[in-house]
Amino acid sequence: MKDKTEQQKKQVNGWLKAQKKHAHGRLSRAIALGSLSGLLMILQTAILAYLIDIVIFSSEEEPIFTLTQVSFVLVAVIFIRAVFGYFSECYSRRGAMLIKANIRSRLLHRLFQLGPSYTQTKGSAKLASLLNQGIDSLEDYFAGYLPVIAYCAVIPFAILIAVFPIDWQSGLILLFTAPMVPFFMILIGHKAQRLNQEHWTKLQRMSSHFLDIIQGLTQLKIFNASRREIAAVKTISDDYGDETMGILKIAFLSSFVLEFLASISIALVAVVLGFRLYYGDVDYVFALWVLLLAPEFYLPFRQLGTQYHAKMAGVTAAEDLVEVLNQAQTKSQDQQNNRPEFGSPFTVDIEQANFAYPDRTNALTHINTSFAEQGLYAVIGDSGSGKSTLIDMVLGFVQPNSGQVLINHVPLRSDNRDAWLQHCGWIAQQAEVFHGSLAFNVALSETYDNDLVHEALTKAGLAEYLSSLEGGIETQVGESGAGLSGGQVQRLALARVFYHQPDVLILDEPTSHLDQQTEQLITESINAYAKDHLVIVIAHRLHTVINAKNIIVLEQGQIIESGTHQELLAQNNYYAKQINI
Amino acid sequence: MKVFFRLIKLLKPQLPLMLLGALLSVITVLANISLLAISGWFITLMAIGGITGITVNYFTPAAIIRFLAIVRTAGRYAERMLTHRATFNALAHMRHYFYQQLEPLLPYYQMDLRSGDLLARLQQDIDNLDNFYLRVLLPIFVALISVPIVCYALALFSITVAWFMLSALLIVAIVLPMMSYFSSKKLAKEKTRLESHLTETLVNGISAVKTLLVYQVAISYQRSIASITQQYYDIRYKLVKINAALNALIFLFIHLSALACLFILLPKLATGEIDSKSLVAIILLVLVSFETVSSMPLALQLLPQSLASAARLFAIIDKDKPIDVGSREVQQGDIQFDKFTFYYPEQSKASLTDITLSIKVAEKVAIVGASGAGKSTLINLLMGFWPTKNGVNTGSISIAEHELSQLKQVSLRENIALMSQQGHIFDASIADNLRLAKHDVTNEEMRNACKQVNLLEFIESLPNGFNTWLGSTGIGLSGGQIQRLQMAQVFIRSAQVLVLDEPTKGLDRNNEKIVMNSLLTHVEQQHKSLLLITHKPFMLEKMDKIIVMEQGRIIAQGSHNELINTNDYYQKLLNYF
Repeated sequence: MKDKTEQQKKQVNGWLKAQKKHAHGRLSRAIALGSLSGLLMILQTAILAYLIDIVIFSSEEEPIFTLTQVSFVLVAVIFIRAVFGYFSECYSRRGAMLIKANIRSRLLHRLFQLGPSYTQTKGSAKLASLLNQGIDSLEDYFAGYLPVIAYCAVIPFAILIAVFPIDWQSGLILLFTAPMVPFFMILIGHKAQRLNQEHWTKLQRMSSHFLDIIQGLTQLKIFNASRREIAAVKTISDDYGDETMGILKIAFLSSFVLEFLASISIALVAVVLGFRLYYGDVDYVFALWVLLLAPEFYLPFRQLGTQYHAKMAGVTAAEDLVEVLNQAQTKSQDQQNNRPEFGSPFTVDIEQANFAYPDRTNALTHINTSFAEQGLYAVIGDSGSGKSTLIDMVLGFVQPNSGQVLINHVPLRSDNRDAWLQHCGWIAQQAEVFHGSLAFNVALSETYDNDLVHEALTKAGLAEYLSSLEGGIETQVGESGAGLSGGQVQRLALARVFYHQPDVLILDEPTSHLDQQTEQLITESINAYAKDHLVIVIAHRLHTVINAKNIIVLEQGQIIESGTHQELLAQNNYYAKQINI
Repeated sequence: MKVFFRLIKLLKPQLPLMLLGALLSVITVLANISLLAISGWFITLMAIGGITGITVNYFTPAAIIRFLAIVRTAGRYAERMLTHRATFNALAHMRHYFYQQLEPLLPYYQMDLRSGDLLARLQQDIDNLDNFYLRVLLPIFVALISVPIVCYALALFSITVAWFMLSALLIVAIVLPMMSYFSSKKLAKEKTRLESHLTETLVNGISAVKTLLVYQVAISYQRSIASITQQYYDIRYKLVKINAALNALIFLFIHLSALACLFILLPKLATGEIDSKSLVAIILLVLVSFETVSSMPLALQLLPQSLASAARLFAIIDKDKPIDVGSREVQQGDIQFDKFTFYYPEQSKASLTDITLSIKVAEKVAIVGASGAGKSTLINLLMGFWPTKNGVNTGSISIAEHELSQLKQVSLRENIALMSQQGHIFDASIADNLRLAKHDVTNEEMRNACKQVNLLEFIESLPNGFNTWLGSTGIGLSGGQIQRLQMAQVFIRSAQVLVLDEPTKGLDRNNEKIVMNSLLTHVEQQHKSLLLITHKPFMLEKMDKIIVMEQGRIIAQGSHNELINTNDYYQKLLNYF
């Protein structure tokens, strides 16, 4: 935030402008209609002035148009402007929505390209909020700020063209004040921005403090500090007000200058016109017209002032968006010209693989191992020893910096990853439940085979639970649906595996938080599955690994020993020391 | 209506400032309206003067115009300063009030609702009230005062025009916004539903990227997001259309009203009842008079929202507060659970059944068991978060032979230090976070505690040391560092009993060893009792007593050596990597 170079700023602004094309011309149409309406406003005020002129000075000479004729034209113009205004607003909002929808799908696509290792390091909650609120804050930039910028260029200019031939003095007053408006706004805006950046962190800290107090209230009570901290809320809120007022003062000052210029020049125009009328220098109708136009001259500038916030918010959100969208992919996405296919049985070989996350020491060093055909393979080690990274490497979510992963002797790359993943299944330590029906959660698809879903749920030990549900497999689960206990969620993930029957199943100890009964059921199921499939599990408990074909022990990113339970016991090393038998 | 007045009552201390701000708003709006009207009057006067050659007094109107221009500008500035000041004062006051009222309710009522949801909604509701004065009360006030003034001024010239404008203003201020409100009510509900659906699906999916990719459903997930987005935007677009129609109608009303007034006044001009100068002034006045109600559509839109938020907040703070009847100071002594059975409020299944256990002074006790076994409930009760003597609960909990419900809660928490799993690290500096645990902690104590949990080296490597800011606006700590910082907080507290809920979860072996050794040394040296909840077998042999729980019951208790030979669960637990 602090050291944004000019170039980065330009890049973000350029990116924002480039997004306009995704509105499919709606934004341009909105701006065109809005500008046309502005031009019609000039006509409308002219007609109104003419109408008043006829009414007041009708006695002197016969007017060219009758009162009724003029009124009809006026009504027509007003109606046209209302219609233009309606469509302009609709188009601009619709355009902004199209742009946002487009950005959202591109960002999402990019996140899935970057894969779980990226979403984990960035924080999934933060990314989800960027996808949601972050993108939404662009709406006012596109639907509010951009059109107003265009109006600022078009409408005052057109008014000047209309005014100058009639009354050059008034024209000069407007012309002279017009550049002062952006000048003062930029001058004050710069100061405000500097102030803004200085206070930004402070303000954010204070507002996050409010949220903090609510979320941490229990913690405060534990410390016997809740009353004290709540008393502090008052002081902090007051400070918050003072700080914000400091910034607002500047913003108000800028609009004060603007209003001052506008008021003074309207007053000046009125007085100048008055005297010219008095000396018979100018026709009443023109004078009235100019007077009506004067406030309209400043209107776009005033609107610009209110849209400044939209601009700031849009640019801030865009900075984060651009960062994700410009994130270099781990490997170039080669064209899938020879779409590779894999067939079971599988052999996964890891040869001399090294991997490090950016700016960190090696997560994995000199990994050589292989997982072949069927059976249970276990990976054990401390937290932070690289177990999850190893699994991500097998799944193709991280590519080794050197060395390679071979699937049936074919190097695993980003272009054949999906073909490989078609044969894989995955269960996390705490599996995810998706919003949707129970069946959707098993099949992960809106279309599914009823019998297979039933069979999978039964195999996973959820038959009893299923029979207790009125809606059967159509019952809604997930956050807004029926609650599932931790054990049921893991069983649901297991049902997912039984439904999909992947050739290779990879798990991060799915039972470490469960009661004995559920734990036993799941362990038995996994062992049974391993009889005719390849199963790789990150294990935390002895009973998971005791029947494993091979146990790999990781420490600080290196394989320190491997073998069967008996072999490792005989080596009397790390593994043997963890076992209490 | 009741909610509205209750809110107003809450704002009472700020009312003078608010009223002053509102009055300034009225003056500014009126000055703006008069400015254009008098300008029109003035140039017509001058034109007539020019044509007829009569000398006119142009000094007074010219001066009035300049005066109004200044009033308008300065008034707007002062009004904004005042109203915003009042807003922030009100905000500070209301936040403080609601937080104060909430304090006794948490965590007691967290069982009612999923806590994340409850807390997020609370926060949202309090935020919604921020704009209550500026966007709701102020526009209504301005309209209430200035509309009659405008209409009175018009009535001086023509009663018909005054009535006409009163109805036009009312239509623009109330009728049209109401129409748009009712026609968008259903859509707005649908919009809210889709909005939360979208949020949920996004949060859900982004945290499950791996699962989605492995099961090859990333594409269909992206498609479903795209389709929800589209549905959501389609609804939003319908709402935009309604709003755009409202704006177009208001636009029509404003401009056609001016024309209509002209025609109403025409006969009067002919009869000389009204002069041409006033006619021009009235037309211009009519055009700008709609400024008095320009913020009303938004105010009426926000009013129900604010009231709904306030109603929800009032409903929460009006809940029965758990009564803290205990008056006795806690004395150091044995903690004793005696055949205790506990139900959470409004739950039919017991969360703890027939618990009998004791934690003697300076005793080290560990509780093991799967999640959902009732370990955390046990701690919450000990901290006094739920009343233990309540209807269906049987048995008793006592400290130094005094029933828990008779003890002062403040004193209870002074004597028992808890490191919970839901512990919260605040968006504040490291020192501030430590100071929460003990408000007068010395630098020496802080350094000591951090050293015990192996954090000192890390903190000193930071450029700002203990003043480093944590949380969303500061540096992020890793899960393990947060655990250790919370442990440091417990070390700082001067309690006689330490309760730690899975303190080493997610720590690597090296740090686990360091903190567990520190913990044991700490309690042994200072003669404190320790209650440790754990999933891991590490150092259980150093405990005096181990309690095995399953499904709310104690299924075994004894020393490490006793259990290792007799308890199946315990044996399994020990074989942990």
